[in-house]
Amino acid sequence: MKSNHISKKLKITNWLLEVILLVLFVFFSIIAKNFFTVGNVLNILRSISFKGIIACFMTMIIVSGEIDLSVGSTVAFSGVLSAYLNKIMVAGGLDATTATCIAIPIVIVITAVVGLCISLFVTKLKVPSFIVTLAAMQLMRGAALLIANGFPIQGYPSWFKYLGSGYVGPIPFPTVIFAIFIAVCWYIMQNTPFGRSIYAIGSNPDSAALSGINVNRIKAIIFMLTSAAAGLVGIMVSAQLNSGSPNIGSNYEMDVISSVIIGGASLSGGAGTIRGTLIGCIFTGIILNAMTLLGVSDYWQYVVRGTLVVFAVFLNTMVKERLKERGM
Amino acid sequence: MSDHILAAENVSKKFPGTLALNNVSVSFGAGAVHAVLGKNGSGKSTLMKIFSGVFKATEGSISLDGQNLEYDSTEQALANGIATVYQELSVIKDLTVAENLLIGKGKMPMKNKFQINWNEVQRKAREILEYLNVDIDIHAYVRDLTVGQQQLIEIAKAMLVNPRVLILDEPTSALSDSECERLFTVVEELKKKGLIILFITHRLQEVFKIADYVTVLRDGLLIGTEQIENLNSVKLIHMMFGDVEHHPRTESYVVDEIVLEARDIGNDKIKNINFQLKKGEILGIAGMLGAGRTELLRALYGLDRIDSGMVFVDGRQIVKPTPYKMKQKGCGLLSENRKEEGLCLRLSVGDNLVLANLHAISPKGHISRKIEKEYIHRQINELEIKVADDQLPTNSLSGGNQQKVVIGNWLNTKPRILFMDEPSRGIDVHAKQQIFNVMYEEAAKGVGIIMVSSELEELLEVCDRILIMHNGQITGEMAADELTVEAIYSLCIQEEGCV
Repeated sequence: MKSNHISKKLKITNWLLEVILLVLFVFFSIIAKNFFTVGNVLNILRSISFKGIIACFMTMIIVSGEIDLSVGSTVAFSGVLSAYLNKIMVAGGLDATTATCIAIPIVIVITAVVGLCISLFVTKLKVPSFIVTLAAMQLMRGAALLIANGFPIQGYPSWFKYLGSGYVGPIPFPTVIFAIFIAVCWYIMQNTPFGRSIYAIGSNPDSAALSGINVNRIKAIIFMLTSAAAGLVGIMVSAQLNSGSPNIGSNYEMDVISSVIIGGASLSGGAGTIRGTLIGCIFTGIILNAMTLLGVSDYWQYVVRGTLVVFAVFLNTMVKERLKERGM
Repeated sequence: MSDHILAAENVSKKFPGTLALNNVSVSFGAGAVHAVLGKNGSGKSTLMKIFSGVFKATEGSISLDGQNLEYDSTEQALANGIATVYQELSVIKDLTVAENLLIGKGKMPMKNKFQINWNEVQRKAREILEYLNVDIDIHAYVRDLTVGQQQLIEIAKAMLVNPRVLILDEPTSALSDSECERLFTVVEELKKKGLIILFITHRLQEVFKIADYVTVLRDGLLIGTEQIENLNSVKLIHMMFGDVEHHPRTESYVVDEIVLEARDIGNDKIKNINFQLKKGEILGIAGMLGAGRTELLRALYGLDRIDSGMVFVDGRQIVKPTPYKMKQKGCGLLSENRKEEGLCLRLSVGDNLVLANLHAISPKGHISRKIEKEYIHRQINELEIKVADDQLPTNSLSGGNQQKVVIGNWLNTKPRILFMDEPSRGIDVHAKQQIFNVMYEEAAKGVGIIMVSSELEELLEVCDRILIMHNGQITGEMAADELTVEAIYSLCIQEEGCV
């Protein structure tokens, strides 16, 4: 949990990811023109924001020892559903702004309910979350395709675009949202009984339950939060595209999980931090951005992502070994 | 007919801090069943493990038929004709009986390098089961067999290597009476075939049923070997426990106020449980393994379902107890498996000390680092937990210190009722005494404690009152100062008339 303050002696190993990130940043600044410019840094931040928002909550899921593969499909589902609700309400005589303002909370609630259903299968029926969310992934994608009938749904009010591609001062709006979620989730994970319970559950669910922690309730909440966050991202992505498309959000789950893992979370639960996840997101963002600037083919990005995960896992286990060698 | 003899000569085994076996010389003849008895920590398991190659003796030697045995692995012991069947089954449930019997390096009959000779597998499996006079379908999946049948498969597997010595480590502890009977028939069969059979058990009735000789160990020393005809249970229990001096507590903190009451509680493991726990009372629960002691605590704390009956805390009924509800009511449970059900081993010592107190240390909704430190350091100081830094992971601590962390976690909740399952298991004498002292202090503060322990002396020393459990039921209730270890042991094994 608090690998960041296990012991003062180990500061260097604790900041390893950050150090590597910094080295990479300097390296790219030197070799890639335009890398170290305000415009490009903001560009990087924008590119990681959508997945980053989901990654905050995915960190909670993974720390608790579960997994959620359905987030990408939920993004598509929510985008399509909000556009669809908007469309039928407008057809029913409402003006576009009112319709959108009604549609957004409805969609968030519906996606939260999806998360609740997932958690019930996981906690009550004891189905592994991998299986439940694998099923949910297909179901949600199917629902998105069915609602949209294969085509993007249009008809948002013009201001709606702001949610996906607007700016607050110089900073992209999604990045502001991402920053808020990072701060809130960091606070929750580090400083609240709820956050501490998540670590306890991931480390040993039986001990946690015995200590009076309501394991099922906490799992339900984090699955709901994760799905709702994916729902929010879906709305933002559809805002950016100005339409609800059933094909958005593909591979989101893998990218999000990769970022969390790169940030040092363990799939067996009990370990992982929001700080790590933020680093993981930036890591991926920087490398992919630099590759674009350097003119490397897009096709390489999958190879790079894969390599990054392997590299990060190697780093994390190596660090752990080192901790053990020092008798920790 | 003892042309085969398994012998140990002046065997000692030292472990850090303890002498598990102290100069033991004993021999076991062929064509007989030798029961090896002793209470927990007597050294009987250590001796068996030296024979089966798990441990190497620190001093002394072991021999079979006068030939010195020198080995340090179970494979080598097996090659020397000594096979062991352990209490924990090692069958693979998703394979068939035949596959289970023959699986293993070099045992599977092959047609060539890559193909298994299934006909040969079946022939061999059938052969060994016939040899043991056991009627089990070799094509059945082991998952579908009863525990007793699985135990027989284990024995058959051991017999495939044609051993001269068969060590059975508490083979009956999970078996029903009829399954025991079948096992005994097989053991009799093997005895006739001239094997040396060592039979470890806690159940005295079985000893009289199956054994020809009885060897008793106590505190690492050989107490003696006797022919079964010369023994009765009184004598046997005395050999096992010796002249125990126990010092019941002189001061009692029992207040005449009921904090916990169980009325007719039952589920699939326990039935008709009725008792009351008073404020400041330490109530012991004695019984053999499988008597339902742990299951009773689990049911009361809401970890297992309760099918019938009612639980009252402070006179108020708790409907469908869950650990969450019970903790709110001031209860805490110390599990017998601290690693599986007590600690989050990967989290720090500090984290574990406040695991049950997350809301208490967060008066304003978020964790107050100051209060958290107070909670952590209070327990580290009071329980004398030896740890350099409370941020170290809990798995770096010794067993005794880990146990103190679990206890500290509960003491931090200022509990009013504590369920303690084997609180002294796997910890050293000093830590044990410290934990008992903590229990006295808590009782003095008015905490009601229920303690389950397999160490009968401990129960007599610590408790005010002791309940005896057998087959999931409470069969007796005694004040601790009325009892002796022998008496409580006889009650636990349900052998009337030898008190």
